[in-house]
Amino acid sequence: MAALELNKITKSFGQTEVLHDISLAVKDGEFIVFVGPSGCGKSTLLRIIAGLDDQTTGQLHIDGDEVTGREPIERGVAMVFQSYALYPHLTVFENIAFPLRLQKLPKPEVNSRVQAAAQTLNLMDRLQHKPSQLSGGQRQRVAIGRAIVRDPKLFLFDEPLSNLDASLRGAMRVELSELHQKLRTTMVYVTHDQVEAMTMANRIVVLNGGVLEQFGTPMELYHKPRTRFVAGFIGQPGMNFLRATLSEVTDTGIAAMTTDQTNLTAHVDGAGHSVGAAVELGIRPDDLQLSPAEEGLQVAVRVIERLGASTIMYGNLEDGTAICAALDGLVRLSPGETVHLAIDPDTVHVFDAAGLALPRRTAPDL
Amino acid sequence: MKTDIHPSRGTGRGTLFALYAVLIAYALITLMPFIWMLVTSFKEARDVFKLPPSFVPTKLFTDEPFGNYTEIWTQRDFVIFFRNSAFVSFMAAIGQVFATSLAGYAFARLDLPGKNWLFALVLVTAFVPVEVTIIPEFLIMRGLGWIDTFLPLIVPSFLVGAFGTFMLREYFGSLPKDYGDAAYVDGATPFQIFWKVYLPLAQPALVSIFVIAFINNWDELLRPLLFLNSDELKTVPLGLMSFVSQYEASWTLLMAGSVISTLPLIVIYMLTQRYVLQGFVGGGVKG
Repeated sequence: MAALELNKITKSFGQTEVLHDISLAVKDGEFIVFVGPSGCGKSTLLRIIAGLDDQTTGQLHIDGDEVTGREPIERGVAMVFQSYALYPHLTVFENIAFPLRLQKLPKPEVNSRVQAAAQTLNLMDRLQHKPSQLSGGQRQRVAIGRAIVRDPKLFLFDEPLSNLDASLRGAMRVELSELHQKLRTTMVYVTHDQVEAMTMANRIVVLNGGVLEQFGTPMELYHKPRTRFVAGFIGQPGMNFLRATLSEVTDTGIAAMTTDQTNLTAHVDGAGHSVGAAVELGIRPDDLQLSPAEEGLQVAVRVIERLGASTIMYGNLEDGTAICAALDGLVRLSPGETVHLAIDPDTVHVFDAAGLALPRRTAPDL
Repeated sequence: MKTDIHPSRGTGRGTLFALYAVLIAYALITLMPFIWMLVTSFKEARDVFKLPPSFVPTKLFTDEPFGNYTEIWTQRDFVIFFRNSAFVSFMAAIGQVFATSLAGYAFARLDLPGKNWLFALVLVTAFVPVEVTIIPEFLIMRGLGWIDTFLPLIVPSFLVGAFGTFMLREYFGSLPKDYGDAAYVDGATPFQIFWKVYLPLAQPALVSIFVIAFINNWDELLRPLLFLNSDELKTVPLGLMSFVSQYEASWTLLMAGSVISTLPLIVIYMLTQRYVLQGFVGGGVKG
């Protein structure tokens, strides 16, 4: 039985449909991340699951029960907000105890549950503080404390780390993953940051313009993106796209001529596509290697970023197409130089004119 | 553009001197009636209209320096007026806080059809002069049998208040919506969200409403004059009126009474000044 099941959910504001036929099933104990650019509908979908907004059509099941139209408290969900939504007039203790007090639980039980949550989140010495006396990370933990104290069936997180600085965000990511391992409760997490999605999720839902583009494990999305959008959104630095024309379709793959007249091959299933069709080739920056034999793409180096363990090179093809390569180790290149980047045909993604990926024949075993 | 809020910075000494001179003169003109009231309350009755006018509190140099005060407090029922005013003003102020917090919250946060039209109607009531409504109000109160009771002075405050509703609507509207959503997800009812989350956060605005309503009701003359007849129900403004009649006026007692009637307002304002300022500023600034 799925912990959460969405069946053909749509949402319209007036004439504008912002979510289109979203269907997915989340297994019990999974950490699911909704990811997508601003305005893709991910927070709206989360609010529908929480019961804060109603869907226009479709059904919603939590733990097998149809919950459409039910109050949030009847759904057994707890939510952590982007702004934390800590009540400034209450202490940390009272903030965490707030949902328990609403349930009119006996005082000793409230005390023990708040203490247990505070212990889990390392907040024992902050219980009598007001939210304004806490750091960003501590506030975030209090917000999580207010959610876990209820022992919900489903945790919902709405961009909870977006107000934190980069280093704290990294630390909180680890804490949240550890918390999930400890609690083993189903979690649905919304973010626009694909790094958060890749590092924390068991499975990721990629949304774009209210459409579910792909639902899969981080590695599936990375290695087998179903659409050009997913391919471009997942991965850091982002995938390179080269416009090309199919020049050959064989049993083992395809060959395509890029706009800068380089012929590249890719091990994908080209069935149903004919020579001359317009396609886009997708190449991840870390799949590009310097070619001493001067094969592959000829690139004029524009900018070099040295990160220590790797070197990011930004450049342009002859026709001006931008190219990014993530090269291992410290690579001694300078802006203005011309280099050649070799491409393994196994790593090339191909997208048709509609933006759909041609199935890869040789993707890593996932 | 950055505005320089420090007048001394970049301002010449002469300009500064002129600025302070104008401000001090303005302060003196504003304070003069209060100073005159205070001085007169410490004068003998025969010295009030002495020419040329004198600022000497002559009574202070007699055997009974506080004679005017002791007289109105012990012989002129001023204690009763004071108590009545305190009761009526306190209850009316509570009423305003009650009514306007509920109305302001509903207009700011609840999803009600036609609420903006309703709100506009409430605001319109603020522009109708009291002289227009006082006769119908009197007829209603008489119909209810409330004449010569405190009810006409208290009950309407529990029902409506355009200024307070407007102020609290702005204040509640400026508080984050996430607070309400978080409480709703945690199982709070709409009233619990109002009562446990938003109302405590509106404390500065509520204190402001209370202080303003208290002062307005403390100073109110027209309604008590119309609705109250019995001497034992009179409020301070009515009591002060009794010191002035067609044929005689006890100016020193009137001034002593006025000084006493001003004191609670000054004390309340001093105690709540911090909240009142926050209340007025907080509503307009989104955090």
